[in-house]
Amino acid sequence: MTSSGSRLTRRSFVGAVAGLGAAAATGTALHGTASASTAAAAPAKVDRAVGLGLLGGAVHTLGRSAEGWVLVAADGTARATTGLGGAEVNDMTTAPGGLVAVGATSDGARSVPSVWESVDGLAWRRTSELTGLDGHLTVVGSYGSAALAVGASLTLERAPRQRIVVRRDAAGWALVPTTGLAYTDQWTASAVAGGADGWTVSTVDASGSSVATSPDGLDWTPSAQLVDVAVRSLATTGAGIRWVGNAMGGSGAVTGVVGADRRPVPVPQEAQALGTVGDRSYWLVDGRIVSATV
Amino acid sequence: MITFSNIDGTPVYYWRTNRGNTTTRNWNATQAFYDRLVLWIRDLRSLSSAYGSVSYVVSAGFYVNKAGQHGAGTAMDIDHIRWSNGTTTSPLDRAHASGTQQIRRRYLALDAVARRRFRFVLDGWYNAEHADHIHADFGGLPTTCETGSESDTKFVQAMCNNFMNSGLAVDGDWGPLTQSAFNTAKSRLAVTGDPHSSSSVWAGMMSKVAQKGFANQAF
Repeated sequence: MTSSGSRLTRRSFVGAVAGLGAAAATGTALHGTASASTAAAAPAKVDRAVGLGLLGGAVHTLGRSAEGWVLVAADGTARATTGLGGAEVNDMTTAPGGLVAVGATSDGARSVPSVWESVDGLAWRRTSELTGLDGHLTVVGSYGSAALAVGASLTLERAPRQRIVVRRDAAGWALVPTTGLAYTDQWTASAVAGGADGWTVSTVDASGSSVATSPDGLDWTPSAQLVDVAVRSLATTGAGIRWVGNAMGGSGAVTGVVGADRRPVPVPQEAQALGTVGDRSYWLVDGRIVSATV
Repeated sequence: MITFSNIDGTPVYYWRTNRGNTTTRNWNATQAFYDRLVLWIRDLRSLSSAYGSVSYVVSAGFYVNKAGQHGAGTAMDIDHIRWSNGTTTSPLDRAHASGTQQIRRRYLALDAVARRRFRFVLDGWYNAEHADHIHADFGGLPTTCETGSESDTKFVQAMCNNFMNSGLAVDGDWGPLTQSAFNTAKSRLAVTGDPHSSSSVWAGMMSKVAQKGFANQAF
């Protein structure tokens, strides 16, 4: 693993965030390649969105538009990013110093699991890459000063082959050995979250999601199985581990608490779960971001 | 993404929470992937017409909210197929590992039909995750037979074993024994051309394998 990141400094986010809640982003996609610091906010339609992060207390996601990855505010306005060109970005979250995103970069027929970091969500810099692996990181979570990203090495057919876990501490990002997760090797990690008691990860197979917990991100214990749902967000609450995701038989929006009943989320049928911040869940619906209380 | 509940008129059900359930589900996929599904099911209908029409398909998912082809709306997991004469093939029941040759051959026939239209087809021989469904996606197109592909190699080895009693190890390693058996299969199926470089040759070979499999005939 290489780590090229020097300590980034926080600076003010330059954006046009009109507010939280259900919002539409329609119209034409962004044009031009204005620099991150001067990029104007504009409506953008995205075909994919990944993760949620807080900038100045406001929720943002990364969206993929015709012109590349854009930072989308909750009101639907979007700004072009730099540093993510050609990247497969799979998740993004808030971390100390700004935002962190994970995915892979293309290396010919292979893909290199990678981590990017950004102070303002606009200018991204790859800070870590697992140069010896063909695979990708699919989820990232953070708690306190630590962050954890989970992914898999991939077969030629791009099926998960073996679990990958990378952890960020004061020394930076490092690939870490794990125990107790081998049973998930051939499944896709779809959510990870940190809390006072440690880490929770969810992986998806053909039948649903499997949740595992760990005090340190290294040693894992299977926790629960959730049939017919791809979990995209986990949070430890007073009631237990709350999850948000999409059904697999169809794709309805659902939420629940591990060990308790599930219920539909009042968003359109085709809504794709992005994650949660506090008690609000965020969804991609026909290129727009909408939110609902969970 | 588009929403659909049937593929070219054939309903698609979900059984992972309630086996035998025929409640309509709203599935999502890209328009381009759905269009490919239409070609696939028309192939299936044509090549298995002796069983009557395809009554329904059971799937474990198309668009699934996770990274990769499912997350892009460009993948399908096949659990079960039923025809109007009552015949079934059930990856969900691990038909590839059945003790009955006819059931294994029918599974391979379904597998072969998928390989006509999809490059990355992951079946019960591929790995444990796919022991209970056949996955097909948009990756790696166009469709050819790649000797470096574990998926293609294991399929060819299983095919040779089940239709020619070749006695190959299904290990994903395309060695001289696999090559010899593959050559024999090509000859017996009267395949001309190179399935490794020509999509039409490979698709044609898969049609012949499917016909043999649905008819439970050795070659």
